[in-house]
Amino acid sequence: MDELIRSRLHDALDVEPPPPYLRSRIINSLPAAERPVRWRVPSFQWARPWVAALLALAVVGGLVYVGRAIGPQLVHKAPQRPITPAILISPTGVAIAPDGSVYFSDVLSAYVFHQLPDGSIATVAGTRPDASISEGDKGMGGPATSANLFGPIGLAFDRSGNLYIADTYAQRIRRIDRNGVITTIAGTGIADPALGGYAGDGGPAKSALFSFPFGIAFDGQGALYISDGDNGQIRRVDAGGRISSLDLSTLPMPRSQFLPGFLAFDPAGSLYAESGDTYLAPTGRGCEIVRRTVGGVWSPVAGTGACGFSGDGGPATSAEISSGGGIAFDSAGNLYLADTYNHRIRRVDRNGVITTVAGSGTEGFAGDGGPSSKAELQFPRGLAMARGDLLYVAEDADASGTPTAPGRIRLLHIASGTISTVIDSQTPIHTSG
Amino acid sequence: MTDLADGDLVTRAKKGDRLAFDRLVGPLIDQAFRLAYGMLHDRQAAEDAVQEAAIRAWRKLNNLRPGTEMRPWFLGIVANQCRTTMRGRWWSVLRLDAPPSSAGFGFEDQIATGEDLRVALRRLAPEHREVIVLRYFLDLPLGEVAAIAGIPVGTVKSRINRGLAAMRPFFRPMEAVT
Repeated sequence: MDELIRSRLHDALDVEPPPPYLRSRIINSLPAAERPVRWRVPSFQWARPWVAALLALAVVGGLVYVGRAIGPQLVHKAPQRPITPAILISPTGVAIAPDGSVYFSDVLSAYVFHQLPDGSIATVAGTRPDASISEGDKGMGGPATSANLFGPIGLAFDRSGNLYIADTYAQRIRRIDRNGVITTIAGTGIADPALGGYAGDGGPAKSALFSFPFGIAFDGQGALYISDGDNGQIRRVDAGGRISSLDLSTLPMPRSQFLPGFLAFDPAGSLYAESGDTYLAPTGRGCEIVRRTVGGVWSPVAGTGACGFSGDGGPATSAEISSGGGIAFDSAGNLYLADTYNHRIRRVDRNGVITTVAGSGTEGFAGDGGPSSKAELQFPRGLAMARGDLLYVAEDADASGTPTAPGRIRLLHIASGTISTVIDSQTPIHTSG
Repeated sequence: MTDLADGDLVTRAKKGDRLAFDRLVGPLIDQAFRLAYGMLHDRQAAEDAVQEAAIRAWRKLNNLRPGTEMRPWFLGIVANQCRTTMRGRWWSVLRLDAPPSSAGFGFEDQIATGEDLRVALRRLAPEHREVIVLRYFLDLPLGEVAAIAGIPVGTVKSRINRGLAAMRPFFRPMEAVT
């Protein structure tokens, strides 16, 4: 009888699977403002914004009341849907533009920002944090500041100064040309926008499928490399727009442990890939940096594959890292890696010796203005080296921070070994691009 | 499937990492949608219920301990959201009072159609509908149904029996032909 009932109910309730965009819609709709807040010793500073907010509400309420009393013509009709202001939540990817300005992605607020000469930041792409992938490629072909992004992470500039964005949650790669027009140059997202897929090698990149494309980088010939995170692949898009997958047969780790995240090229043209559980906490294995020579052979650079923290002062390949972050090189050819889950920046010198150059290991933002080795870092992710060996670090959302702007961009002065904050929640944001 | 909540993912999700949360809950979206559809009989409402449940789960992460079985935890929240939806005034006006199909109840001399069953299911008390959908549409074991519904196994059995009793006319014709 059970089987009969089961069969009849399955027939009666035969329903198409949930729409493929539902998963992305859910994740994009999660309220960042309601993350759990870690308890700290009360200082009553928290009361200040509330008091200010209550006063502001009282003033606004009074004005509205007076306005209504004076006449309806003085009271503007409220818009049906309030505009969601651009906010800084979770800085993730960083890139330096040819003019030296800093661009960074915010995966949770779904914007790409850049810093203006006066220190403020402006939106480069993205319209609102809760844009749903079900809206599709809204805004493509037009101004990037009017186009939706769904979870941007990796950033890279090509030689012409066009900005490329790994819109990770849209399973697509976007390009913003120098006129500010955004287009999708790789990925269709058609098969399953929520989970992506793996297809299209040998054909045009626009028809290819990805599964959480994460880091991106250009080689010296102008080819774009994309870490295809959940597919465990690195894809290459040549100058003609055709896509292929790199040969991974010489990887020094089991293929199942290769979870590529951020990418970078060194000055000699070798490709470096961070392998960990990309945006997730490492799960025990896979924490490693690997290098691919121009000839296509892979070798280990840092990490043993086991996630942890050890080995400073010794060979980087014998040290444990707990990465999930970016890679950058200074003018002397030393490699820097964001050891995300150890809250540190580590350096691998040209002899292969690893040291910690920033971060005490304690999660936080303390230590600005002092030695970087004693400063707190918080989930450092994207790295970008600017001229003068200035290392920009995107530090991720803070569970104990204010909900609206918990992340920040720090600047590590390699020569002096000091650290400072250049962008945080107090930085003014312009939304006009 | 009784995947346990991975401790690292839970920790990351509690810190606000949406991608970690996606890894925890994403694989359950399909079953969550089927549960919501089975209870609400409306695709759009089911989508909304799953989304709302996910947001509730996100807010309740602090209650989730590493090692918790993810599916009962999340589907329990989905079921609760569906109950909330069905309690809504407009839902009761628009859905529960919707006219039955032309077949309606009592057509014991013909094979019940899928629409008959859907109507019969819709007319069940929500607590009966929930356990029947979980047991016979999501094919879950009684223990997991109990965990999701938040009731003892014995109560699950009695609710299933009562629900099936109310729907029996719609199975009898099929019994006759099988």
